[in-house]
Amino acid sequence: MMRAIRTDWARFWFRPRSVQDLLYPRIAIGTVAAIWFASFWPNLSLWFGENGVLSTETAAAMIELEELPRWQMWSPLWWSDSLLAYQFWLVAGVVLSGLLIVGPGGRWTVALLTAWVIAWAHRCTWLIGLTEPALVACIGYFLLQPGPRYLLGRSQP
Amino acid sequence: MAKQKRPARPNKKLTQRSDALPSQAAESRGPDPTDGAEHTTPASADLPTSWQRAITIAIVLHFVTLFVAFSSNLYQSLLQQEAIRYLSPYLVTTSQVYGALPLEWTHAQSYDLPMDFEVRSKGSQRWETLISANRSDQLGDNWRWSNLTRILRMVIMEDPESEIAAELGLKIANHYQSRRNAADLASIRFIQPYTPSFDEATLLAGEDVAELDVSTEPEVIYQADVVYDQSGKAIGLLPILESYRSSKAAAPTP
Repeated sequence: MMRAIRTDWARFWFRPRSVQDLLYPRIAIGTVAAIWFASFWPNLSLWFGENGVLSTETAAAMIELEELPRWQMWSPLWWSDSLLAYQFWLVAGVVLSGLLIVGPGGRWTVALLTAWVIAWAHRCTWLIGLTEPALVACIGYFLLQPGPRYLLGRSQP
Repeated sequence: MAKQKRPARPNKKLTQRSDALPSQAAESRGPDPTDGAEHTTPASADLPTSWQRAITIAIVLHFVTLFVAFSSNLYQSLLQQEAIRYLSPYLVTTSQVYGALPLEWTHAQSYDLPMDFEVRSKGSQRWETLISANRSDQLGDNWRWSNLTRILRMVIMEDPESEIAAELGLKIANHYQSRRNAADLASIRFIQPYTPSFDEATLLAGEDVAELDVSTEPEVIYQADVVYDQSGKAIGLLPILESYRSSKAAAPTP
């Protein structure tokens, strides 16, 4: 029985397979990521900025309340309360999600998008729910194998 | 070749690359939406056994870590608390920790219940709802408002005079007040609308509310008065503890 488990495990994780299988999941997850970033846009001024509910000072107090080390909630957005920075982050996030769909840059694009999502989720602190950890995991798994590129309706290895 | 004994190199047996290519080509032509050309690039080259072992251990550790984090969102044991503390550099840093569980699993803890935000202007006795968990016209807000109120309620339950609750309440109120040019605020509060249990909902569906001994008034979770300085600028909130409120179940003005 253990041999069968080991064989099945090796077959699932290590058997060479066509990377085409990753194309549609990557398109789906990239689309979800783009929508997720865009969903913050309408209420950006409510949550962020100097007068936002989650200004850097208030959000930092939340982290302190949870007794979490600051370095674990890393994010470049802790350095600014300018709404422009947050708008840039969202636009760039949508662009990166689009690049994930298309596939250029391979693992570099995936790594950058993963870090972008994590940094935004860390800055949001108490606003995040079940979506954010699931999204990070789904995007992060593409670091193992980003899959083929998809340009102009054609997939390319 | 198939009749020979197991080869010395396990990679050959597990991957069988030279035998797999034709079948891989057949596999890859499945749902290919493009030009139908063969794209049989294997997902990975033959990995040495030591690599496969290391990757297997990493995969198992990763999912066990996630499982420990999720299971610890229910009633934590001391061991789970310590495990989460040691795992947090990985879980929190990679934003893979979710500090709650779905409603279907917890069967509705008190902090899963909806919470509304209301304000009262100076010179008025009327409470106005600014954010409601049940209003469909605030779709974008509702989704994240529920996430925020879950943790906020836990904070308020632990510390009824929480400064974080006061700060959040004041900022939310100021944001909406500035957009509406409304009068200065006098008080803010977080209330829980009446949420019937299954039995109560069954009773309410069949009987007149007035005849039932069921209170349908919302419950005040947190209430605070706005404090102004001499120049009229709001500088903070003064929490009103439950024992000092005029009524625990203060109905909002319709």
